[in-house]
Amino acid sequence: MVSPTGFQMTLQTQAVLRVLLDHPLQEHYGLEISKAAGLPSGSLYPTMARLERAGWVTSDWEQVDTHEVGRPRRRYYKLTPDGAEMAEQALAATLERLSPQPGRRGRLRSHGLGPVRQPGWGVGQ
Amino acid sequence: MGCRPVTVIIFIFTAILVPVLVGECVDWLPWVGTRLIRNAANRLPLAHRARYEEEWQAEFEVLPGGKLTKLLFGLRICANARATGALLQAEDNMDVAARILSLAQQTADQAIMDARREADETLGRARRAADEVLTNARRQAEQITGDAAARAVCLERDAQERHRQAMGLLVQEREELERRVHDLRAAVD
Repeated sequence: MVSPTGFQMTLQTQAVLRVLLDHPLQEHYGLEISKAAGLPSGSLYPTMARLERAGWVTSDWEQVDTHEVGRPRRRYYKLTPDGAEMAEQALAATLERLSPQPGRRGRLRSHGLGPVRQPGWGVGQ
Repeated sequence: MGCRPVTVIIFIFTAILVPVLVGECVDWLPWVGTRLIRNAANRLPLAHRARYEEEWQAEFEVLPGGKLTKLLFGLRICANARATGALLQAEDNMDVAARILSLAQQTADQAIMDARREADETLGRARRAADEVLTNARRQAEQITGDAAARAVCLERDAQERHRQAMGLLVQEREELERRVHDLRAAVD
């Protein structure tokens, strides 16, 4: 499955996008995304690099005093407005491909596959 | 019942040395994880190394779990470094290509502007030359026209003079003829 920008919509990419779309205006750091997406820590970064390259996601350093918080600064990722829209469309298209026949979507949902929401939901929350 | 030396050695090894060695190895796992992260960062394109090493080290520091988790994190980072590096390299290559394309576009735009300016200058020079030729032609035409008019006036004057002279001669001849006619009549009478 290939997204409109040309990269593969792997299960890992879909999981990451779902996490980001759950709170599209919020910034997330890598461990947080990995945990929420159920991915092994350390395996996330090629996906994030791909999404950044496609312009769906931007990243920036956390603005904190590292001595004050007692830890190194984090790199935060956030969906771009276009990225949120494209991600919604890509996930919807993926779901559509996975459930070409009526009634199949319910079975996929019961197995935890495919987003339930429609394009446009979740943006602007 | 006495203990054999081998049994004592095995006991000492399993009860004391192995836990010490295992504990020592486990204590080294975070260090190994850090080295793995550095190694993974070094596989990325130069421009991205510092950013990803800092990002990975930051997450490594706050990783929940024990020392083995940190090692696994480092191993996963290392295992995915090639894919991440390839993506970033492709991105860099696209940026370079975009910059080259932009430079080519700027060069082409500059060349077009230069060509237009040169064409405008050439056209301006051609117009000025044409204006000069036209001015010269007009001046020469006016001069020729003036010369012709003056020549015509001269010719007209000359013709008038000749006409006047011819008329004077005719008058004299007529007076001469009339005098002869008078003389002949007088002679007949």
